[in-house]
Amino acid sequence: MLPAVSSWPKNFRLIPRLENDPRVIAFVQTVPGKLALLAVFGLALSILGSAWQLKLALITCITFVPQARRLLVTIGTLLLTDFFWFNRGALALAAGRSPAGFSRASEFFWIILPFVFLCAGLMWLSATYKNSLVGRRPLLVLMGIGSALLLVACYAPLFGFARFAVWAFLDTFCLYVWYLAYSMSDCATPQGDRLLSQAGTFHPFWGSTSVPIPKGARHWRTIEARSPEDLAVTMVKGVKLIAWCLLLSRVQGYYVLLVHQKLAIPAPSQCIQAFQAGQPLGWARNWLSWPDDLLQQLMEISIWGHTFIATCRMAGFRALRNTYAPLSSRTIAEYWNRYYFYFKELLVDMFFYPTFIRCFKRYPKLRIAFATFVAASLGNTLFHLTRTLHTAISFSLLTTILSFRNYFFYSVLLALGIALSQVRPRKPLGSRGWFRERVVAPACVLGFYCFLHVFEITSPGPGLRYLLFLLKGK
Amino acid sequence: MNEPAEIRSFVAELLRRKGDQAPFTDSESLILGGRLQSIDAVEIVVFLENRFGLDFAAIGFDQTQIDSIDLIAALTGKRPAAESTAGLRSL
Repeated sequence: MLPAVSSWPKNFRLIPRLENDPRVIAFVQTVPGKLALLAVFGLALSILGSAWQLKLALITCITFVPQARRLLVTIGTLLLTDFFWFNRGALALAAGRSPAGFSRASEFFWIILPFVFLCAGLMWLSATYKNSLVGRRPLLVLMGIGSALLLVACYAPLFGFARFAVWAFLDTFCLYVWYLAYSMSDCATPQGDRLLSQAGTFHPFWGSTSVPIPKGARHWRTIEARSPEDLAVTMVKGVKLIAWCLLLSRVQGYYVLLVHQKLAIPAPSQCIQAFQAGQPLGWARNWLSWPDDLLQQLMEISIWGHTFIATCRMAGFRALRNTYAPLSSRTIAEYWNRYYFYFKELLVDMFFYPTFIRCFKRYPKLRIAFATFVAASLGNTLFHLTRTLHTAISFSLLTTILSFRNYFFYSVLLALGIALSQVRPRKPLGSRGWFRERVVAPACVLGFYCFLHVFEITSPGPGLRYLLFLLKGK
Repeated sequence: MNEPAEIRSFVAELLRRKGDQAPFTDSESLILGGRLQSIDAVEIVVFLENRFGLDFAAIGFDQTQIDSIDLIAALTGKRPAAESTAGLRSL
């Protein structure tokens, strides 16, 4: 990506471009080459990842039987997600609220199996009735189902196991809803995958969050290695990425040691708490706390994202990195694209494009700004709300929704920043001079995200007062 | 200028504005390969709407539809549909 934008000095590479060396690629296509690559990857994964033995075994099988790749991915995914993933914490919460005797078998028959049938049914409907609402607007249908489930869970007079089962079902639905949206969308295309292959994309074995990484089956088909040479290049890039990740995790360890133990820079939440208690910490410590937190977040997201993508590449998918050189971003929108790529892609696919192609077509700037607002603000808040809906079991539904008003405010500011950076006329790279493009612009972008982060962890009023304190120094 | 050449010229200009002057083939994956981002896809959409009268609200939209010159040309009906060859961001 962006070869001309690569960091200075241009030709220096900490990890060489091994994938461009024909001898390396030829060697990696041999059995000893494949085994060597798998051994190096396995070693790195054992240091960085969980369940590395099973993942390595799966990758080994895929490497030697690439024609069964999608089946093996599905098997690995089902094994590693324990036949559909449960948020055990939420279930325990549900069980605590309404104690009921339930076994793994009853969980399977009353929660997992109905959920599997729901997924299969929706995918079948999308594939069969491509031009229906289910085929054309899967997210709308899923949000309708989710809302109905939520209302039943919150207000229906359910007790004991029934109450537990409905909440657990809702929780499972929320964990898979974005995966299901991608799958339904794929099933509605003529080339859509079969149901069994779709199951492999639901929290795939290399790791994922609520965000499908890397997206859904349609994307997988595009990035799947198609020849032995293609697979060799992809695997070499997988090993390079995990090597970089290992290096980054060591840097993170030393960084935390230096910043928190030696320099005693506080966390942003500590700064806010001290400020709200009327005993603010020193001005310099307050200022240093935010960029420090941003850097730590960047390292953290890079490490887990690289581990997922490296494993995905070893399985033969030429996936883009989740985080890619965010510190070199020249605009707010560029940083958003580089920081958590697959989350941004989810918001773009599910909210931005559907809005953009339909609304305000005669007003170009308003069109982009509105679609950005729908994605980065409404979609973003909705995504985070679905992740925590299970908390409505303890609090009321209204309380849970209202608890997101701070996040919504944060997301509105974020959307505003992204929209402005998108509608501004873009100047060609290199037209503003090296210092402005490589130092000033990235520093301004990072400054924006540091200030924005204040509103991510506190409400608007105290956040604004704290920002004034930061700027005035008293 | 014929239509595929016009599309190629538009995409080349998009890449040039990003400082990317590396050559690209008609089958090369530009969005999934990481050379263009979603905001660039938006510019391609607007270009196709204005220049070729495409209505994505009616035909549906996905980034994979405009991932390469070949695919864009197929959308405008000037070439048969072909799959793109996705690359990778470096490292």
